[in-house]
Amino acid sequence: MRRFAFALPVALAFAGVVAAARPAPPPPAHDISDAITEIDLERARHLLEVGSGDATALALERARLAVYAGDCDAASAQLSAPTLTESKEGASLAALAKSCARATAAGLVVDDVEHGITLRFQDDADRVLAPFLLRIAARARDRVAADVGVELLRPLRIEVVRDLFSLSAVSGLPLTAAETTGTLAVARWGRVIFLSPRATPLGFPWQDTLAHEITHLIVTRASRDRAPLWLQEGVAKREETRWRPARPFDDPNWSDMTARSALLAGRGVGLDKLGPSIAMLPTPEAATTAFAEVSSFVKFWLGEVGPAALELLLLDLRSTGAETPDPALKTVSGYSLAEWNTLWRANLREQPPRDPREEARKPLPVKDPLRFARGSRLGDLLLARGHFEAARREFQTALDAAPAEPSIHWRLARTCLLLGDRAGFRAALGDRDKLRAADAGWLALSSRALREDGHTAEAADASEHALGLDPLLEDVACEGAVRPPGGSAPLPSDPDRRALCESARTPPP
Amino acid sequence: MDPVAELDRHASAWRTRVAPALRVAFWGALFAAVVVAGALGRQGTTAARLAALGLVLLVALGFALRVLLERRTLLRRDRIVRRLILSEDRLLGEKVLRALELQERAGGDPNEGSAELAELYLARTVSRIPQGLVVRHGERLAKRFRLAALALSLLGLVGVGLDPPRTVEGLDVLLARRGTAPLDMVWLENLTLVVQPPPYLRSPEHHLDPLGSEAPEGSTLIVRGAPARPGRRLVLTDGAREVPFVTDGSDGVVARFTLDRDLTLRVGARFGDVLIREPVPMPVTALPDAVPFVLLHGAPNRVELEKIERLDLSYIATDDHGLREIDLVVRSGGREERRVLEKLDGQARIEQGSQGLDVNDPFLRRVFLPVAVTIEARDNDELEGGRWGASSAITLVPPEIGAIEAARYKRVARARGAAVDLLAWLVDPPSGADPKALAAELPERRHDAANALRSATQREQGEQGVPAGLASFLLGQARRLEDADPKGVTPGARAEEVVLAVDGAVRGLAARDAQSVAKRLGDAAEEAADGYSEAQNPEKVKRGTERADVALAVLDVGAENLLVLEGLGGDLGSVTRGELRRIRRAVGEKSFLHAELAARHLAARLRRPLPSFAAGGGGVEGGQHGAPRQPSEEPSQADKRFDELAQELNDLTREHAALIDQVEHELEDAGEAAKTDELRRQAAEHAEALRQAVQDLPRSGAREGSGRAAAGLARDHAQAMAERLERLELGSAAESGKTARGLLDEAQKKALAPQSAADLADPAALDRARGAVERELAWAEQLKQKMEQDAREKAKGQLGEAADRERSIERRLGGMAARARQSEAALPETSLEQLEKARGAMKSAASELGAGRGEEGLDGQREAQRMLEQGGSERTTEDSGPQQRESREPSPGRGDKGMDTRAPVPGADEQHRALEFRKRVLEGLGQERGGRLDPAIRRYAEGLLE
Repeated sequence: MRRFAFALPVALAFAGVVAAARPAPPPPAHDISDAITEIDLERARHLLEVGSGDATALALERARLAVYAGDCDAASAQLSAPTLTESKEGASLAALAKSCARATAAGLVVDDVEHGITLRFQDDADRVLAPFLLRIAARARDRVAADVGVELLRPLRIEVVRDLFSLSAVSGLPLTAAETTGTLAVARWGRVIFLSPRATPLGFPWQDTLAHEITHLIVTRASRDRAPLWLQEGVAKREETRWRPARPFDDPNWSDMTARSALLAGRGVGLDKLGPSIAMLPTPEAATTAFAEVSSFVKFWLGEVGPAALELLLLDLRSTGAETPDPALKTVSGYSLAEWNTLWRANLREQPPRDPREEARKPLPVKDPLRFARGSRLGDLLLARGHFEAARREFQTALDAAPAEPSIHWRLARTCLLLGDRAGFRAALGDRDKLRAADAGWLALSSRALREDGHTAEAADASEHALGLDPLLEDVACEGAVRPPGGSAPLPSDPDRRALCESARTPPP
Repeated sequence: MDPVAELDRHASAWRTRVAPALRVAFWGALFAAVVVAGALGRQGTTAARLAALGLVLLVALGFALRVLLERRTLLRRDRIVRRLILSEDRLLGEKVLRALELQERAGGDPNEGSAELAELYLARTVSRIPQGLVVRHGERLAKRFRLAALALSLLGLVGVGLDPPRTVEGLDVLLARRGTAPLDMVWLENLTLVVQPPPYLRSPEHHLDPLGSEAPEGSTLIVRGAPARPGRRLVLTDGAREVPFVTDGSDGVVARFTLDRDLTLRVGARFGDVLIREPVPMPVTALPDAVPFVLLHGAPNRVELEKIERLDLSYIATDDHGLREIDLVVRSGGREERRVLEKLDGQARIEQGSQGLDVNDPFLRRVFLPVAVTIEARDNDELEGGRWGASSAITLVPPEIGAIEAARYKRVARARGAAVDLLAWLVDPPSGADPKALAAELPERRHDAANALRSATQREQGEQGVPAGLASFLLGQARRLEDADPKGVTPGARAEEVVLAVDGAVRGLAARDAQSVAKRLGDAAEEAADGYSEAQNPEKVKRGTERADVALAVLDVGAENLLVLEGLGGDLGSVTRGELRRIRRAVGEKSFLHAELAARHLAARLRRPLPSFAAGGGGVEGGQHGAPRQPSEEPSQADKRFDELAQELNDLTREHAALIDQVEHELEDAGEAAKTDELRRQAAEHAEALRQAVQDLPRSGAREGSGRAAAGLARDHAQAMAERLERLELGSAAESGKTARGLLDEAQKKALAPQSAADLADPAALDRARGAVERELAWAEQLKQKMEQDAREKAKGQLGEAADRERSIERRLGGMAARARQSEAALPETSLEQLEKARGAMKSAASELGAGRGEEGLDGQREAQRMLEQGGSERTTEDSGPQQRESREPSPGRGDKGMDTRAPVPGADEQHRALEFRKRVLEGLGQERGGRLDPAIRRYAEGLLE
């Protein structure tokens, strides 16, 4: 008995050692997939190292991980095995990896450890945009993370591509769809794939676009990519401007008004009819309506249930894994999507139309589009040949035809500057409230005027706003230092702006 | 007597008898051994040769040993006794041996006895040896030796006597070194060497001198002869290869050897491993089939592609035996294209021809690297599948990609700049200038600007002009600039319109050119990618990178040229430059894979030459979420309206052409309707009467220029007239009749004043024929007028409708001409003049048709059609000029009647293609059409057949 009493603890201890020494069971494949979807690439890498089982599935996950890490040529090499491309998923991933590898090979990488952001530029001429991109991306990421309650693991990967063709190649979004809807950026494969402002002749609100896409990544991580499209886009629209203070020409009621008019006119797209992506809707108008609808709906929903509900909803979606968001919606807010949809539509219908006085204050529409177009073009042609006074007259004609058009105010104002007509410059800028929209050139020259008047803070805001629209427009990049054709003008003092200005004036060879 | 000497004497006597016999026996044995060794050695194998040698050596050694033993025996007395005496007389021999022993013991030991006594005893014993005893023994032995020698000699003689050469061959084989016997032997008698050239040479077989000759490479050499000795394995060898002789079916043997190089043939006989050769070698020199020589006139040379429209290639190809094929080969970078110019039967040794290479050739349209153009000829050498000979190359140096487009863009942009300058002068005249002076200066300034537009349409030396449609457009705008301003339009407003019109066209041109340049640059990018792909092979790094570097240089220049083209060109140029930097960054990092990937991306991008961002402005994921977009009205629609007008004019031209066809058909139908059965019957009677009247005339065939010849020809023409009368082809019948009448007049004149017998003819027959022809001619002309009158009456209704349509077209043309003169869609003055002339011709045609004068109306219509075609214009977007060498598919050349006017007509030098073309034309023309142009078409076809 005494011997048995001695043997028992020994046996138990041995069993414990054996149990401790026994390797943990390999992780199931969906754990790896979830880790990749949540952009937790380190964890995914570890799980893949210890994982075993279906070799094909693991190889596919390994290739997917490489795509998420931006290593497309490694993914392409891994997917070259015929066994992997037999499945539809494998073939699709292989095609994506191949086109992505071509578009990203030898891209210029800027790794900002401090901000935890990795930028990769297809065109190294965009390197001058890096400081601005990094600053905005970091701010937007932090703000969205605070709103949604989920941190994005570092580094945040941003691909800056030169054109829509490359955007399609890197993201896998069909090029025709991207062209139809004018897609500027995509959050996919754990990265933000972002069109260079260089690609668009008139620039675009790239800062808000960046914030929008970062929001997608965070929502994807928070919900394990189970957030429905309306929620994804609605939250992204909500967050795309929350990272910054309000700016002139922001229209907080745009989404409600647009959705309301679409609803009343029977042009609504519908929350449940968005398809796989808003970027794949058939027309730009449909995409605009869809954005307005999801934006308005999310705004309404959060207004009803409170901002904290968003975090709960995303957590619930992540854990329930249901096909529809209804269980999570009901848990968090008590109603299903259909019920919320009904409430939202009723609310939209009940909303009063715009205040007639507000309508009256709205800038005048273009009175004579043809005259405007002719005056603008003739002015540009005259300006290019150094006929400043004649150009001014043509621009003035165009301005008369479209007095609310900011681009013609900018053209006229800079022509006045070239003529040395300071008074004319001020007059040409006009009143901001009478402009129909923001224009990068106008904002840049307005910033200059404000700076000259000593309104430094307002000037900085206007300059930042201009930068957020068309950073490579010379007047914007050079902070309103207008240069005559073939002439020179002073460079900004800030090194980043100086580099941007030099790049805008002299593109790299 | 000294017993020792006595014994030596006996030994000597014995040797004297035995030694000669032994020598004889040795030679006999050796002879026999050699004969046997020869027989053995003839096997030729190493074992047999060793055995044979061993046999001979054995015999020699045996006898040598025997001699040595004998000598050794005779050196000691006891052995002499034992060898010579003991065998003959045992007792005596033993006695002598004991005496010798005793003497030896006594000599060595005095205790054994007296040495003298022992000596004496020996002497007495030896003396008792009879002389004959030893002699007998020797003679008996000698006899045996002689018998053996005889037997062996006989054996050898028999062996040699049966087939003496066998022994020689055997011995020869035995002495062979390195497989070749030292002694050459004759194996074949009546040896002949015949050469059979390769079949493709089509040369007969013939004899060669065995002592030295030459033959075409690839020939079959045939050696024949009668074997000098049967049963030998004869072979034919060049030292490396060996071909056995086989029986030729009679008494001879034959061997065939392929002449693939210079050879020295020998006949030989094979004995195992050893060959015994014939003494006389047969050297044959192989004449190689020369590679065809091709001379391309003007090559080598470098030609700038942009300065030519067609490269004429004239060549001569020759070959020593015959040509099978001649190709035109164009190579550029890694691309090559071969085009068969001629397939030949392989017999022609010289062939010449010429070929044109158009700059719009699909291959040349896509090249961006120099193109080597060669003519290559293949001979009829079937052994190696034909050998190719190539001419020197004419290197076509293509223009830098986009250089042409950039240059012409600059030209039109300069012209636009001149118009802009005029506008600036009008909008912002010099301050303080006198208005009258300004007004006076205006025409000159307008003229300068208009001239600038006109000069942009002119093609300068070495440059490509602007497309024809755009040139018309610019000329039209130049005219507008100079025309008097319409009421209410200021000079400034007119200048604005022109500037915007020209600007729109210039930008359109730039965009189209940018697209075409980008597509070609896409090919260059693909070439760079292929180069880097090749460079990933460690053995091909240099070649691959060189290939890629050339392509990158092309891309650099192309990107520069793209940047010149405003709008899309600038965008694509910027993209290209960025991607080139990316490619070079990859190369700098020594990653050819990444360089290849980047280059492939660029290639794909450039082949889809759309703007970097197609939608204007854009928003977050495509959604506009704020203010509406900037208005994007086109500042001028002039080019679009011009294109609409050009299209309308083309449509109108086609419609008018269709109306002409309709009128032609109606006139034909009316003419056919006038040919009634009664008329046909009358015509047949008249034709028969005419035939009867001329049947007495002489037949053709008399001396040329004679009266009888004229009469014969008159008979033929009169009969032709009769045939045409029957078919109611009255016009041509009248023509034949007039010719016949003239010939009859000539015949009558010569018959009245004959110069020779050939001028003599029956005057009555001539008179009868003359009268009949005159009569039928009058009838035919009268009938023709009547039929035309009938046809006119019958067609009057339809012609009236055609006249109405002609007037309608004329009115519409008037409207278009007015638009072309007054609106922004302006046509040049020359076009307007042509359109006005067309209108005039249409009016005239309409009135003729209205009056029922179909033929006259038709002439007017044709004149109007010609003017219309001259006055029309292509659209500004059409660019069918030779400068369009890019990958754009050539637009089908449609004539104004919807007919393809650009069918490839092969040149006369392209014989086989020309023949096929002619055949197709004849087949087409030979089809029954039934139209009024049928006779003309038939005559044309007959002309082609001649």
